[in-house]
Amino acid sequence: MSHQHAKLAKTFLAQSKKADWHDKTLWKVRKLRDKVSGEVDEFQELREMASQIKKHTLTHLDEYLLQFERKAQGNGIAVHWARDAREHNEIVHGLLKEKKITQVIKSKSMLTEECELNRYLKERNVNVLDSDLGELIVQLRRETPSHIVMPAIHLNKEQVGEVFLQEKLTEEYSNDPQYLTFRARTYLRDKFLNHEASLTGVNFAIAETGGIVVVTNEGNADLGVNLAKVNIHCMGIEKIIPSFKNLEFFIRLLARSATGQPISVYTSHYHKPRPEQARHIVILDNRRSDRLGEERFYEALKCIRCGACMNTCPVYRNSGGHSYTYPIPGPIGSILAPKMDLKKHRDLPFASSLCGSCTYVCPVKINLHQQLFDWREEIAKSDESFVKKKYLSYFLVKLFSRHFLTKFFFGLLKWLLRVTPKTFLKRNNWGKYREFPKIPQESFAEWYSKNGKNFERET
Amino acid sequence: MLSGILKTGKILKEKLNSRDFILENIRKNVKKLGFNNSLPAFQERGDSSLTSKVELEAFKKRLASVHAKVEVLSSLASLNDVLSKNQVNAQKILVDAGGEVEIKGSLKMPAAKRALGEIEWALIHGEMGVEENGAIWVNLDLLTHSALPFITENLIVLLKQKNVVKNMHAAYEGLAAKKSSNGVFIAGPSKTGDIEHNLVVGAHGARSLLVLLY
Repeated sequence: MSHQHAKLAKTFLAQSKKADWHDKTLWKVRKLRDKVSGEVDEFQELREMASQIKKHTLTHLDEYLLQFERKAQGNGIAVHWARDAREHNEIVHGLLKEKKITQVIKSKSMLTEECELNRYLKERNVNVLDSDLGELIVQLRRETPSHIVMPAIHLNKEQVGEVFLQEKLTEEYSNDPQYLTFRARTYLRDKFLNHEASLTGVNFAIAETGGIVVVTNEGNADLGVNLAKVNIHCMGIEKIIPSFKNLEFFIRLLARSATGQPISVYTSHYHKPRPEQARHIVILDNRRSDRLGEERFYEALKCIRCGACMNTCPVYRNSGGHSYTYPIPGPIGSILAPKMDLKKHRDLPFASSLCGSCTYVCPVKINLHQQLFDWREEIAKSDESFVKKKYLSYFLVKLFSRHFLTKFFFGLLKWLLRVTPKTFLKRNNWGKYREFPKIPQESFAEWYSKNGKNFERET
Repeated sequence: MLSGILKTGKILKEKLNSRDFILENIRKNVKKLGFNNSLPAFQERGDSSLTSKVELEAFKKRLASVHAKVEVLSSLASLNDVLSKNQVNAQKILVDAGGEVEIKGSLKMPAAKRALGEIEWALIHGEMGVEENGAIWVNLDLLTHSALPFITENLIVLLKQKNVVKNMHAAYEGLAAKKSSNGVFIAGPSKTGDIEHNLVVGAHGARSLLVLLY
């Protein structure tokens, strides 16, 4: 059993004040989500509909992808298919190389994080500039996003001020969010007006019309799309929805679940490019189609990347996004990651208390905590370090199936708890933050054998 | 016969193109999954059903909550007065509202892309408002330059009161005829919470939004 998540979480928790702020801030977002979704009477029906539409689409994905391709091509959009991250990156690089473009401005796309596109392009002398404010901040700091909706939520404004000064976005140090945002705006506007290519993610791809929907609050995706000559939109195969009308459910759910807004500022629908523009869509598989055949795990493909499961997750809130070994953190990341690399990410499904809060808030009703549990089972099967646990279970079964053994064991345990020094617990990873329980002088069984007859039911 | 089998084997071994590989793998795996979900029907409940009346006051309140400013015009003729009341200089405004309104002395759409960055005010036409969230549908295909609503420092949207609908169900219903266009729901000025979760109005898109209802 690796303890990568626990180790990284320890680093995060070392700054206790910031960790506390992180926990409380994300909980605030969760409460806002509750308030705003509570204002919609039919919110539960919307969740059910969105979930069913996704389920339907996934079980007809080949048909809808083909329809999408046909319609998109009819709109003058070039459609490309990539089997894995490498092919995806090759396609994007090829499109830019063909036009001799070496600067590309990007709005948020978790898929390009999954493919490590920025690094791939940089190695080939193409510079990618992230334009979402949070992503720009983490890019300047040479970090990765720690949250899929709020990429820089692990940083405080002082750290943002420092990196802005260091990278010359400001001339003098400031930690005023208003001013820093204004400086980023000024810096990026210039780039938007000069860059020839833009890259965006895709929130929804509409099979019926061959168009895509991109949702932002900052307007960065729209500036990129409408000002650049070459638009590249990158999407996973699971982003498809059957019809334009289906958006009525997803758009009502997305921002309410993500940030507690009734709708994001810009919900943009892109179809035909302007005459002087070229539009490309890259459709990525990267093992998503393999997942479709797994009854216990395919529902993870319903995800619309709202981040609600992170905001509510007690483990995520108290360990930070960078303690996860996968670009997408939190509960959804922890069920996506093992499919990509079981060995590397094998402790992520254990970074959960299985409280079920993620499942409760998921707008498309993914059975997140059940999948976390099921992945544990998969991992236990393949990991030799679980042998110890297997022996332990065998021993416990024997122990608890014989009354006198159980009685003896608990007597021993009570004595042990009294005599073991407290420091012993502190040496254990789990025990570090905990205390031994207080042991009463008399057990319930002992008490009952003395007093039980007084409470016997009269028949 | 034998050569035929060998040939088939060779073809199978050869790399399928990625498109066919992905589609084939989807088919194979969906079959393994073994079920076939149909599209469900939606029954709206509560007071936000399609038939319930649109409340303009609620829409205006929503606009205010997403940091947009609202003015109600008695008629289009009072446009100039309302603009000057809101400190909009006619010489600094670019009108791109399909000939519906004209403002004397207003700016022309610049030919150079760079000059788009200098637009202070842009007035465009909104086709539909949504009561539940304060979003306004703008058809980008009807604009002289589709970047205008995003690149302008301040955005002004003209919207007919009768074009406000109840919620997103009614909105997408109403857009059925235009479903293949380039269009955007805009709800307020651009904003961000990316620095310590502080709300900052005015991120990359327009820094203010003035909605003129008439």
